[in-house]
Amino acid sequence: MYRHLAWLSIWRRKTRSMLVIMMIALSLSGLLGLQGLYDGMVSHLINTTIRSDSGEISLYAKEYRLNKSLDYRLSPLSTVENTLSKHQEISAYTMRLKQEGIVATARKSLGASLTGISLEKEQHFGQLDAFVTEGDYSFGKGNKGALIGSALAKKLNVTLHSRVIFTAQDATGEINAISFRISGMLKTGNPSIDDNAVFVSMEKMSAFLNLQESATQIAVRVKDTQNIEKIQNELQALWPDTDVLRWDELYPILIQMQELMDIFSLAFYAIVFVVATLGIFGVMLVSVLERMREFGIMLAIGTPYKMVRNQILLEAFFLGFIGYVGGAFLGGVLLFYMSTAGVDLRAFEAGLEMYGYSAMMYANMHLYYFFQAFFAVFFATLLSVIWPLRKLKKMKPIQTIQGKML
Amino acid sequence: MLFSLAVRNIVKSKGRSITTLLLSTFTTLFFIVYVAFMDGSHHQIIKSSVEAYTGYAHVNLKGYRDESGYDNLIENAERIEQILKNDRSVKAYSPRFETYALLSGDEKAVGSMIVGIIPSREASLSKLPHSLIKGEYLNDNDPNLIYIGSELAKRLKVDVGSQIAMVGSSIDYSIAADLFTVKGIFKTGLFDFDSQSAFVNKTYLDTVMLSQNMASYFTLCFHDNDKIDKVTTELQASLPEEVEAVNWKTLLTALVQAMLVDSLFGYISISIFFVVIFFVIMIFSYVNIYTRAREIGLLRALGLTSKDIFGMLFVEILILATVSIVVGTIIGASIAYYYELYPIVISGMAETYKEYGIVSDEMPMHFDLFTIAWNALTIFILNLAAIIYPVTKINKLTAMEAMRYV
Repeated sequence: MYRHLAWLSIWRRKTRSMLVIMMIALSLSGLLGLQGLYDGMVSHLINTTIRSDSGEISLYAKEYRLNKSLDYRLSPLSTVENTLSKHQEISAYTMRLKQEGIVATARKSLGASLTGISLEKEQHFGQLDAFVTEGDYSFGKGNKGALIGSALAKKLNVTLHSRVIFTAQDATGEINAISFRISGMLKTGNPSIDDNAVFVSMEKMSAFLNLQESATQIAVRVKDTQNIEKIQNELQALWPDTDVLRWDELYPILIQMQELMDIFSLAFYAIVFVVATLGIFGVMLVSVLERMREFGIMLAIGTPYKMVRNQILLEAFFLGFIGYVGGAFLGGVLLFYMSTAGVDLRAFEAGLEMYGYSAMMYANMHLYYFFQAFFAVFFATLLSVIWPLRKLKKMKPIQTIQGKML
Repeated sequence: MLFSLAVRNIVKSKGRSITTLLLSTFTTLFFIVYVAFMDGSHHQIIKSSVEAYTGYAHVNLKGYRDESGYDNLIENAERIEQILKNDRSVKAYSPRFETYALLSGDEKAVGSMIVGIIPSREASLSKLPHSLIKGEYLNDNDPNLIYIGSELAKRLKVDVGSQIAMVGSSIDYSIAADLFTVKGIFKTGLFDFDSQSAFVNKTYLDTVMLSQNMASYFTLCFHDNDKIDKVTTELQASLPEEVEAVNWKTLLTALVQAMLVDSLFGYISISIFFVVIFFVIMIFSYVNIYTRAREIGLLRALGLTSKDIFGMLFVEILILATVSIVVGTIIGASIAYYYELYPIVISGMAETYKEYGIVSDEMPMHFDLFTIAWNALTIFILNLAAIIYPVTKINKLTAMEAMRYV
């Protein structure tokens, strides 16, 4: 019965209840939208980094990351390749041979890195082909061309088919130069590639550096992300003299950003809901106070206190729940829109790209957002009735009915 | 009379008054501090980028910013020098000659930017001389001495006194090569800059690059850098047609945009908070007004018009809002002012976020009266807007209806 009573009571003062419901629904949808969008921004950043560079796990020769010299390279590769290609839980791997130097046109030169890759492997590894914005995903006729980062191309002022010259030290310490034509441009969202990288075929790179069967990095994609650490340990045990590192060890800043976003989201949730609790509290207090007489009569004719208490708890819960359903629906629609159509921030493209964010942002959408929101609403409503219930408990039914104490 | 009625009501309904006062005070304070902090960190990031090296404005050949190679050099630097010297708004200026070349230490070669500067004049234009961490800064008569970034020194494995070979191209596109001795090492904290820049006395570099009386651009600062747009336009008027003056807002477009996006997200986040505050104030006003429905009905029956009632209730919220906003603004502004003078220090932040251009552990707030004024005004309007609905609703009741309202 008290369920029915509670339901009817919240509609006795329609406007007041609607205000509370709207408050919860609107703030909740905003919070959900924001959480999804921020989450989406960071996971996009992580995703492009994994796809275009680190994989879930990367292998380097010891010392290489401290001192990017060809002296510290992985070689020979055939045994490694053999193991990786046969491993059940590894979906793809790629090998890269990278050297820093200077890239130049007839008019201009800039510091850059030249990396030898296999197009086929990179495609399988992280769909590198999907990042091509101009030209083809190929090294042209006879593998003589190169792919270049879009921002670097812009700085160098080169277009497709322009000829560029790359100068660097080879493995013997001699300074060598190599020339090629641009066959395609890449825009990955990873600044270290877009601003800095030129890709050529592995064969051409090996010849240029006077090396055979060598790589500076081997990146690995894992089938199931649950197993990253397990596979890392396995590979480390196989090659103890190699650095076997997870993406979050290579880019700790990404994890920190994610944590920072989580903390920010949580803090914001907390602040918003403390205030919202105050709003629900105001309505519940007044709603209890103005019905003191009614409750007094109920108690006087023998209704157990428990039932009255449950009725009030339920009223608060109904308010919160309707607000939650409204907010979850609105927030869900908002998230769905932002995760499919995206948020177009191309007006700020340069600024966003500087930090590796893409100008079209897509929100994430996870079920746990909605659970989290439910608990926040639930606690807020619970908290808001504590004080009104205390008032009720202290009430003396007879005096209240007589109108002596209010 | 309305005023005294309003004051009486405020004093009488303590619950609502205290809640509204506290909420608005806290919101005002929070908003002012939040914006001051956000603006402060943006100013800090931009300022450190501007002052580390870029400078407040550049004078360069039109087209140089699209294609910064040798084709767009200022070929008669003396003429520009004279113009800048005669311009009273310009405080300091100096020519720079920028090029890229391959630098090699004993074992390693790295592509880097090499800049010819007039050492003594850089002191008032950039942080270069003050960023010295080892050895000595350059002077105007230095021969083949070089001043390099700390990260670059690490990459090249060189120290003060080591020799560095440079291979680049002179302005007639012939090969320019020379041997330099490291005179000093600097660290600005801008990671990219520290890992890719080296400086040489311009008089000497000109002999190697054949760039006498030439400059890539002039960097300059004005007496009044706060009115940068105005002074840049004025300077433009006195320059020859083929030369342009651009200020940091254009030079650092990407950074300025990134800060803008960050602000945008900041405001979106806080607007959710405003939605809740708005509703809470509205709920409390609504509840308060409706508990006084009978009283209001009586006043109407006694001859007050609905306009009078509106006036009375409006004066109430006006008093509450004014008091809380004045208090909130004073506290918020003091906090902003204090932390502008004595920034919050988060140790280790600069190290963690060095790749993002954060060069200092200090997080200053930005104290700006205009910003504070519009922040306070926003909350004020929010307060007034929150009461419109409850007031119109009660005014729809006739005197009799209001008196009978239960």
